[in-house]
Amino acid sequence: MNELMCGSCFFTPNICWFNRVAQNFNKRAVLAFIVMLAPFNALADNVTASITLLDAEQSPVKDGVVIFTPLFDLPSTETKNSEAESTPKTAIMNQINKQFAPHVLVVQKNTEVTFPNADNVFHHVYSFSPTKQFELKLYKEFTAEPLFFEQAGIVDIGCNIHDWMLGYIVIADSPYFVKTADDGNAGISLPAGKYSVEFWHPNAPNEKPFIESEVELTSDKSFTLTLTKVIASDDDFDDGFGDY
Amino acid sequence: MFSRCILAIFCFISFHAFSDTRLLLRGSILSADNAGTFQKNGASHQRFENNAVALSQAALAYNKVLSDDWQFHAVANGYSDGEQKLGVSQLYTQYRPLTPSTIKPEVKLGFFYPAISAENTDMGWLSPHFLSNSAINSWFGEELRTFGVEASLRQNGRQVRRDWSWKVVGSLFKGNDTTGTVLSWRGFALHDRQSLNNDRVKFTPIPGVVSEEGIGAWAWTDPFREIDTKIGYYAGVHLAHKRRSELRYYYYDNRANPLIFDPDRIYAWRTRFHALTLRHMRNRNVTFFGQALIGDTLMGENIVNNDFYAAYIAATYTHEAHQLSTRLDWYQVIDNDNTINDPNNSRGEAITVNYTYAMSSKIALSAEWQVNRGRQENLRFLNAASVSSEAFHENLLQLAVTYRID
Repeated sequence: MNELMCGSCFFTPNICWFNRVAQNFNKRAVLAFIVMLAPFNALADNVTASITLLDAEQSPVKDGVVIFTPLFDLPSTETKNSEAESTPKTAIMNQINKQFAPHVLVVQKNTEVTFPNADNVFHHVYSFSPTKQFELKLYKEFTAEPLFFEQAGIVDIGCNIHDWMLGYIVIADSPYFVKTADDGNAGISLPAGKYSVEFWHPNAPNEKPFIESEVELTSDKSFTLTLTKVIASDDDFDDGFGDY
Repeated sequence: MFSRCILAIFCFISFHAFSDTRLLLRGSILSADNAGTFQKNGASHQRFENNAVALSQAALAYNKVLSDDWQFHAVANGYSDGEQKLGVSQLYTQYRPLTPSTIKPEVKLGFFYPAISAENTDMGWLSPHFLSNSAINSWFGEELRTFGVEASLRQNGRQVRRDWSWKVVGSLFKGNDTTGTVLSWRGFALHDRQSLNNDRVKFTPIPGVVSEEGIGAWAWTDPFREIDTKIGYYAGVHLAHKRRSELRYYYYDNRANPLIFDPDRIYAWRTRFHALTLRHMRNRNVTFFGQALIGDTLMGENIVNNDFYAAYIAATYTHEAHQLSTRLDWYQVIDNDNTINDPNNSRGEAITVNYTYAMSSKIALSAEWQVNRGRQENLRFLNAASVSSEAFHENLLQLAVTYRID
C-alpha cells in the first residue's frame, strides 16, 4: 500500500507530508485520507491523456514515445514542482541478458542516467549520437558513474562487444511524456491546456500518427494512434552463436 | 617450460583489474568400450576406454580489456588424457574499434578457431548442448586452429533497422600444415578433447602407414606444425536474419605443399574444405542447427589423396533448467590414391542424446548417450584379436558434473 501511495505522490505536490501520513496511519485511515485529498486533486485541474498505439495490422505496439510540450505557462504549483526538481533527476539503463533494459528509456533533460551491468560479461556501451556521445566500459556486475543528459534529443546506444544490443534514450524538454507498454497503452495525468505532441518509435522514427501537431486537453482524452507499417517484435535473442 | 609461461601469464593477469576470468571444470563418469582409445594408439575412435572417472574438461578463459579498442583472450586447458596435459587452446588479441559507421571492422591476431561451428559456443569452445562434439567439430578441435590474422567487416541489421545482418571474414595463417592426417589414417571421431598449442594426436598404427616398407609415417600427428612456410587462408561469410536464423559459409585452404616434409619426415598435407553452418531458433525453447563439410586432402605425390564429407543435424529443447538435445552425424572419407596397404576409406554415423539439468548458474548435471558405428577399411590390418573386421560399433554413456566460476 505504501508503494501505491508513493506512486501517487509523484503527481502530488505535498509529497513528504503525504508519505509521513502513510507511514503513521493504518490502512483504513490512509484510505480515508485519500478520499479527503481527492477534491484537492480536482482543483489542480489535471486531465488524463490515454494513448493506444497500434501498427498497420492493428497489433499493439510497445515502446512508442509521446511527448506533450505545454504551449501555456504551467500552473504555479507545477512550476514550483519543476523548480524543486532542479536537482538532477535519475534514471537507470540496465544491461540484462545482453539487452538494454529498458529498450527505450524516456527522461526529461537534466537527468542523470546510471548504467549498471547486471550481466556477468563485459559490455562496452557507446553512443555516437549528436545529442550525447560517450563510451562506458562496463565490467561484469559493475556500475559506472552516471551520465548527465542535459540536451533534448534521441541517443542511440550500442555495445561494441554485442552488436545485437541496441537501446535508445529519449530526452524530452517537457516533463510530460509517456511510453507505451507491452499492450500498446500508456496514460499520463497532466495540467489541462494546449500541447504540442511529438511521437517517436525506434522502428518507425519518421511516423507522425497524430493528425494535428497540437492538441487541446480540456478533459480526459484518449488517442488511438495507428502506424502505417507493421512493427514486428525484434526481441528474439539467441545467443547460441556467441558474441560475434 | 611452456606450462610455466602459461602459469606466469595467469599469475600476472590475476593482479590486474578490468579482466574477466572464468573457470569450467567437468568431471565425468563414463562407460566406454573396451577397445583401446586412439589417444593410446588404440583402434577405438573414443576419447576414453573402459569404465572411467575423468576430469574431462578443465578450462580457464581469460579476457582482458587492453584499451578502448583492444582485448586479449586466452583459454588454457588441462587434461588428464592425451599427450599435452596443460596448455592453451586459444590465445589472441582482438581489435574491435569503436566507430560511428554501421559497418564495423574487427581484426584478430593469434591462435584461434575460425568461427565456423554452430555448437561450440560455450566458453573455451565447448558445446552448451553436448558433452562430445559432432564429427566435424571433433576434427576441428583436433586439427584445425590457425595462427595468423583474421580481418572482418560486419553490419548489424538491428542498428540500421533491417532484418538482415552480415559479416565477411578473411584470414591468412601459418602452422596448420598437417591438417587432414587423422581424418585419413584414423577417420572421423566424436569427442571433446581439443588439441592444445603443442599437442600431438595419436592414432592406431596401421602397418602400411608406419612401416618402412609402407609410407614410413608416425602413428601420430602434430596438428599445428609448420612445415613448408607457405601461408594458408580462409574466407567466410555470415548472414543472419534477426537473431533467429544464421547461415555461415567458410572456405579453408592451408595451401600446404604436399611434397615438402620436415626433418622428422612429417609431410605437409594440402587440405581444403567448404563448411556450411545453419542455425535456426524455432522459438524460445527449440533451436535447430547443423553443419556440412566437404573437402579433400593430399599428402606427397598422390601418396594419400582423400576426399572427406561430414554433416550433422541437431536439435535442442530448453525448458527452464532442463535441456534435451539430440544430434545425428554422418561422415565419410573416400580414398582416391593407389597406395597399396593404405586404404583410407571410412564412413559412419552416430546418434547422440544429451540431457542437461542446470542446478544453478554454477553447477550442471549432464547425461549423454552416444552410439557411433561404421566401417573403416584399414582396420582389417589390425590384430583380429582386438578388432575383428572393418566394422566398428562404439557405445558411450557419460554422466557429468560441470562446475563454473564466472
